[in-house]
Amino acid sequence: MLRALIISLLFLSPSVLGQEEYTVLFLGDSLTEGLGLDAVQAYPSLVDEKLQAEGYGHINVINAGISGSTSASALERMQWYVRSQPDLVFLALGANDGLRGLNVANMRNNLAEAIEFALSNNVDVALAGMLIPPNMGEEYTTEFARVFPDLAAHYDIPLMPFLLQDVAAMPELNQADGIHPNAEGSVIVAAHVYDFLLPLLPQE
Amino acid sequence: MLWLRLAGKEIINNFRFSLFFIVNLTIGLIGFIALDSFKNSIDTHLANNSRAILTADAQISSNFPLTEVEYGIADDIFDAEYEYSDQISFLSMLAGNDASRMSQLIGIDENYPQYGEFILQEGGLLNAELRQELMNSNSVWVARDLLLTLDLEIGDSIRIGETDFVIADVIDIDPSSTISVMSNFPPVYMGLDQIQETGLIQLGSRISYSRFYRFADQDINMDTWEDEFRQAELEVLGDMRRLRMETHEEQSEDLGRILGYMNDYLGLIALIALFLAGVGAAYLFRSFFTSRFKDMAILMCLGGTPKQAYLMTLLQITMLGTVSAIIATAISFVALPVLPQLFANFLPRGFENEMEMSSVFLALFLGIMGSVICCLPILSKIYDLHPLDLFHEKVQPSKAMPHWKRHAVSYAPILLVFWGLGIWQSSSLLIGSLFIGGFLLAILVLGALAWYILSLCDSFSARSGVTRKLALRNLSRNRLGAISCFLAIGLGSLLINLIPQIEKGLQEEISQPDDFSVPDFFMFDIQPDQLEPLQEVLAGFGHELAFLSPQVRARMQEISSGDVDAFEETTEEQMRERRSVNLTYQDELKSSEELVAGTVWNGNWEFGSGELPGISLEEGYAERIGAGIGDTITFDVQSVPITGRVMNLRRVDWNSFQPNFFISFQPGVLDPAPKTFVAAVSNVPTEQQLLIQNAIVEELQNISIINVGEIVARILDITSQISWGIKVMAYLAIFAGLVVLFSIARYEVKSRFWEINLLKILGANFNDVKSIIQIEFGILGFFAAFAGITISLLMSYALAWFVFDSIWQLAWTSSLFSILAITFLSVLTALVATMSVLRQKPLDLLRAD
Repeated sequence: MLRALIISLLFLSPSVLGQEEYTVLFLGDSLTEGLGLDAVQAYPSLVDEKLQAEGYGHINVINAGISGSTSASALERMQWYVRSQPDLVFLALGANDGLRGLNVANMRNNLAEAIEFALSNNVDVALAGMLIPPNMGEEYTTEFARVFPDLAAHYDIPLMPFLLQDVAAMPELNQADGIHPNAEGSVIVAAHVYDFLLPLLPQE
Repeated sequence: MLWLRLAGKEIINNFRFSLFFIVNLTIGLIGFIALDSFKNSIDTHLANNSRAILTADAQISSNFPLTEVEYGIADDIFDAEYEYSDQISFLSMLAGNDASRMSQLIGIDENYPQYGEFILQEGGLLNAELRQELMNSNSVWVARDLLLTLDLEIGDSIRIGETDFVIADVIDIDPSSTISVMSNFPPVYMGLDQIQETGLIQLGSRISYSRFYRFADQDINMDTWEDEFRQAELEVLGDMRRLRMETHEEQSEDLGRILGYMNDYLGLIALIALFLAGVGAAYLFRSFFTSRFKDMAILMCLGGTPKQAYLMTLLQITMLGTVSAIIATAISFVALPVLPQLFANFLPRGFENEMEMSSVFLALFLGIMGSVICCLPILSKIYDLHPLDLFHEKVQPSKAMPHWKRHAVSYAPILLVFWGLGIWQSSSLLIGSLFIGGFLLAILVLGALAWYILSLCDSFSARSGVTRKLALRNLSRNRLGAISCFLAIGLGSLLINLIPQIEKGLQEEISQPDDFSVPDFFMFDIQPDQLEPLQEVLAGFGHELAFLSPQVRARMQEISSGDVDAFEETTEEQMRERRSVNLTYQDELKSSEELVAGTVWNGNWEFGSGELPGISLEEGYAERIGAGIGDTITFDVQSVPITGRVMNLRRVDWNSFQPNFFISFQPGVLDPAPKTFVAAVSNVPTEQQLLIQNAIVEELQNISIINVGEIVARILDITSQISWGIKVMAYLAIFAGLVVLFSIARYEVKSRFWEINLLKILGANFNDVKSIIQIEFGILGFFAAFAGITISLLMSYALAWFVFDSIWQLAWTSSLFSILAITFLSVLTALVATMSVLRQKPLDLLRAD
């Protein structure tokens, strides 16, 4: 059974002859899944599109976003995906922990476990930072925001300071709920993620 | 004046008939008024409930400050007078002694709440003074839950943003708490000004701004508001959806469907009661008319014209109808407000039954007009009356068909009035028309059936003994009379059986599965490795997880060969529903599920079996996405495409309060995919609930726990009341129907006095006459009931299809009971009436009119 899934996972992307394949996995929540958007409008798809257009045909993108997921699911999901041997995991979890007011220490632990597991299995990790709205209270928001740079420094992994840079809190770039980027906002997120990832990817 | 006096005298002279007519009609009308006002009262009660939950009639909200532009959009749509109350709310982490908890801060103004009772532990019911205190100081009212978690007490200070607040009171009852049950964040109330000064509202803050409306006119129709609002928003604000509108009507959406059924059901009963009353009144009048026929002939002999005789009888009926309507209204006026006290145990708290003016008008209209129009067809026979008839031994209305024009004129009002009432009662042109159409069709079918059965009687009679022969030949010779009797009994049976038949389906729909236990907690986002620790925590309190279901997030990519996106026209909401779905997998159907088509899979799907794994869809969902058995559906499960074939459709009992899924996979496919679990915990005593919640939060913080016990109990409470109401109504319908049938059978026997008498004179003995009557009415009763009930099954199925979302269950016990009861009743009534004839001397009968 497991084999079946792995096999189909490999079939996902027709390999480009003569080039070694490189897989980037986006492990995240509704922001990554593209809640309220078409699958092709989610930022991982847009990044993929741009990569293909720019001649990075050997790079595969897998969207592993689950709406509502918290950092508690990070390790379990990381274990599942590492079996299919991605080269780089873009870890973008934590927003739901913050919105639900979950314990920051727990979140730090959860993310750390996932990062450690990936690194110990020779999978690179890039971390996406998250900020939560100031109404949550100064103490909580500060403590929350500190987790991402701390982890990046501790494990010496690349950090994208804030996934929703230039998009968060802009009414015209978000859906009616005020937190999920709309199609336009998603393009901006994708552009930033692309710029952030490009130096980390193998150049032909 | 002379006519009025004459008519009045007639009524008094025929005191027994008049009394019978009035009593019958009065009872019918009281029932009707009671039904109508009960229906209205239920509506009002539920509306008040849902208003209390929203604390208003309607609400607009946004994540951005509301301005005159937004208020303007709302004003245009409401187009009504209102009062309003503004609110600002957001989540924030509050810290207490050694603990913190995410809470919902709510800033209210002096108009909160517009509906519902908000009760504080110390201050009691919220009043203007308490509100002023809150508005004028840095104080808050908090949920008890929060105080316990933060280890704080009334009078303590708590820092919120940049301000210190004093905890002034604890909330005992918060009418709106049932909505926020999904969020599980304890509320903290403060003044609107104070919340803006907490310093927490900054750029990037997630704030909800709302305005709540209370309308001067409570009967305002809000059905289309949300759509209109969305449209107006698009026009005014362009393609930036950021406003939401809610009306109180959707607040009780869980119940809405069931209550909708209840409403339609009551409407249907009223409709049926109306038809039954019509059939009954017509028969009652027919017997009166027959007995008065000779008088009319005399009247005409003395120079009266048919028109005068006609008008006089009409006048009499109008008088009788008016008296009945007035008595019925008076009794209802006194009795109806008392009824809720009698049924206090069954009715919801605070339920008031009030008679509405519309019910009174309805009763008057039905009493007067109804009795007139139901009697018109018989009355028109006056025109066939001839003074010559006086010299006939047996003065009876002609059985020949009257002129077709007069026929049309006398039947048209009945049709029109009942059609109008049908549409009005069902509030639907389609259903009202369908009902009257079905009724006419039933008359045709019953008539044809009667003709056929009576012809059969004739052919059977050749091979029978004298008594049977006589009985059978009586039936076939007196065919027109027998058909009308057959029609009346058949239609009566049809109407009687419709209600229990539909009741059965509805009961089934709102009942709970056998292993049902009220869940107190729903839990989401349980990680696979948290199952064990979670079970340990629960075991410590003596509980276990129930209805544990895996949940796998996926996107739907393709159905069969067609692309999901290109599939018919769908709204944005529907599209979203399809895009992101939650899958589960299960080895067999749950107790809340029922297979409606296809087969259940056998065991796990095997890799390499060459077969696609099975998919099971909820039937309604399958229809919405346009998928059927045999179709293949491809899901993107976390970027892994997985294709399955729809193997079966199942019906889900949503009242089971279990985690239910639209899409379920055969096990063996999704098992290794990243997943979470959902589960429920049942039978948790109230005093344990907070302890368990806290214990889980401490160890497994990410698990969302929703305390659903209260809301489920509330829903169950209302469904059981509805279920009770539906049952009582069904019994009432059967009972009322049997009463009408009694008068029908009685009339039919009375019209046979002559024949019976003749038999007696010719030397037939008591037993012979008895068995003739027995056989005749046995045959008529049985076949008419059988035919009527068969048609009622078909009609109820059609009704279920159109009105009750195809909820239908064969209620064979009540059908069987009705057939037997009606047959028995016809025979019994006939015998009782026959006895009185048999006891009289033949000579007396000859002397009688």
